[in-house]
Amino acid sequence: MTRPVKREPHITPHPAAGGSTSSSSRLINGGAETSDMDSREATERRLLRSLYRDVKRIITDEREDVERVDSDMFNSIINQVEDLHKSVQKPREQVADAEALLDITNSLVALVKAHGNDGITPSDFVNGLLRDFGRQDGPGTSDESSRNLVAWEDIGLAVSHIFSGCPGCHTMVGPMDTELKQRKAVVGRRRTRPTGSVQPEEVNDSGGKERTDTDKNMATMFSILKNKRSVKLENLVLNRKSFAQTVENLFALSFLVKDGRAEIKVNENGWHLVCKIFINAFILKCLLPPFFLIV
Amino acid sequence: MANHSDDLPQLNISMEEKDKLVAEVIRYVLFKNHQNSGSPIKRDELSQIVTKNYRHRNLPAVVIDEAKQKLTSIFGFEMRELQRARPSSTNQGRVSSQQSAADAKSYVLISQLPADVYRKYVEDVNSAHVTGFTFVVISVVLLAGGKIPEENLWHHLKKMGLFENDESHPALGNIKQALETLVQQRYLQKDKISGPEGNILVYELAERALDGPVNERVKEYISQVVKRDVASVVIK
Repeated sequence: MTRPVKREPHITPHPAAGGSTSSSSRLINGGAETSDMDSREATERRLLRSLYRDVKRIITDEREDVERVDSDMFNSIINQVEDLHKSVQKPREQVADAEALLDITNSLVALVKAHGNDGITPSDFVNGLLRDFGRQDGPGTSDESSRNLVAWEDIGLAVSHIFSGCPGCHTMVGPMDTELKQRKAVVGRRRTRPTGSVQPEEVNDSGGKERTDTDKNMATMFSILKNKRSVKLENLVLNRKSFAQTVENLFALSFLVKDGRAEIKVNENGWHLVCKIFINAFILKCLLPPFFLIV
Repeated sequence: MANHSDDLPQLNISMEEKDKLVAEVIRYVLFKNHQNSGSPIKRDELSQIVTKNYRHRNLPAVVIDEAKQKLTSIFGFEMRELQRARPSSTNQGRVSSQQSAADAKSYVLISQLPADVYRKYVEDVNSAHVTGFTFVVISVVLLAGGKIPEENLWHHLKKMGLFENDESHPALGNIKQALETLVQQRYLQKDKISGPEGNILVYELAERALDGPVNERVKEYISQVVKRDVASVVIK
């Protein structure tokens, strides 16, 4: 089947198209006629493209009929396309014509391939499945019944020997690529108090103040010992109302004893007596530096 | 089959070490087969089990061969080797030929039980619907010449109540996902072909569906299904 080559028709200019006024008015009338022709042409072309679309829809929807060897559908479609082709003049319609031919060719190719399968087409196979394994459900939603048309389990059991898959093994341990996760070291977050922190100023001579208190206590205790030659220990250090003061007194006394300025004796009655130590001034002068002299 | 124990001195490996490697490969195959729901296991993965600690070039082949023998004799499983002969057109030009050759081989486990025994004692009723769907899709693609545009495939599936946007089919769940699973299991492969109207997705039979015994049995059962309807169809 050969097709003549289509070319665009040659438009000859209007013979009255000249320079006179009468010819210009005729030109305006000619322009109106031309625009009428253009719109008619556009409508015809639109109709032609619509007819081509219908043919393509038939080729798709009636594919099974087209592919059947004994069907007349193929001839009918080809004749339709041939008739439409005679009206094709512009590129857009030529494209639609070529697409229709392509669709028919694809259908033919599928038909030839089906011959390689003893003439069995996918449609034949699907129809056979629906016949053998189709479901006829009872009452149910129409949507569900339209989807549940085939007994897939029955097909699977019938063809299980084709694939013969092995079940494999699994354990409760988990996936094969699970790795032991290392525990992340707990990093303590620095917690900031909601309120502002205030640091008091440091006092440098706090230790000196305590020594001053101890020295005062020592001086007081020593002056008492100077006045009273010997004093009972409990009368000197005990403060029955303040244990802290008692400890301070005992502390001061221990310094006096350590310095050799006082001594603690026990008399025949078992009383603890604290006495001031009299040191010969001359011996003291020899033994100690002058500023250590105790009078 | 060659006795690989003769090769051990050349491979600088003791019998115990070789047995240990074979055991590891067998264990990997068994558990991976279950984990992947029957998807093929790449030969590269099995080789890595051996090459992790041993550098001899021929050792992976020796170990895999012995693993095949033991799977057959102990479990009755055939570790069938599949070769990816036709890489998909989307991968052409992207992967080097060496790498694609190395990645091409894969293995699947197939039971060697007779069909009636398998059907009676092994086949899992709970997963039979998936087997049925696999068979139907492979058959449609096979009858379409081994390759079918996505649109045509869905045209045939719709006749059986399977729609592309159905995510809650009573038996198969997400239909699109079920189809994608067949691609992962290497029953099908997807190709993109540029046509006059843009890119078209085409489904093609992959190595697992093209494997000799599987292909023959599929054709046989298709003939049985169609033969019952058309009494006059001649079977070659």
